[in-house]
Amino acid sequence: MIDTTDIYEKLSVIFRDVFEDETLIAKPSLTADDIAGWDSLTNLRLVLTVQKAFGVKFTAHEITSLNNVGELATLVQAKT
Amino acid sequence: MRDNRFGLNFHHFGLAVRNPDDALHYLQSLGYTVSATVHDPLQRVNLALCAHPEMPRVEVVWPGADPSPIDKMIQRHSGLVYHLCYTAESPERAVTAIERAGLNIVAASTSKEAVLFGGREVSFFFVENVGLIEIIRGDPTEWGDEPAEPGDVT
Repeated sequence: MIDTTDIYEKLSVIFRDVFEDETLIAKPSLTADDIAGWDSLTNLRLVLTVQKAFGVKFTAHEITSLNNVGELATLVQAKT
Repeated sequence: MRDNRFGLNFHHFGLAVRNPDDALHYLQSLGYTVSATVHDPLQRVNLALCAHPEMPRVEVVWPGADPSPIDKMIQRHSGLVYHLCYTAESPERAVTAIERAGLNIVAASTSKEAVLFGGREVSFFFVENVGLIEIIRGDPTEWGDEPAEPGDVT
């Protein structure tokens, strides 16, 4: 199982790349409402990138149930 | 016939708009016929399917009263073709074939019944570097009740 700190560090890199914003820091409370470009299509690109980066696979139900980055990190940790 | 490795047959383009008036006026001026507007409570959007005897179908999608999946998209783009829709006898086999072709695909939602297509099952997937695709289960030649065929103007 990957350490939580490592997950958030890796997620920060992914978020900066997907949203093209070098200032972004992945933190548990972060939601789509906090980032202007985080729409439903970008969310799916984000999910695909996370899947590839961590070598995990999410179900449609898991993806649509996510409410914030904290839940994403928890899901990643559970699958690694 | 060309090889179709995924078993997907094109059905329509999905056009997200803030307000449907100009898009429907534009399409009608091109000779499209427009189906009755329906509200899809599961996808939380309003929909109209536009058909033309010589051009591809266009599904015009706009928000209803409640928050919808296209809200943030249309904040940035007043009109955007954001999905490609196909029919498939087996969406599961199509997705497996896409994966086997080495493409990255993720399910965007659980499958739902689509009001616009007579309650037929639809599912959305995101293909990396391609975009959002919708798959309607079934063979449209057997439907016979598809909306927005020429003559179905409402």
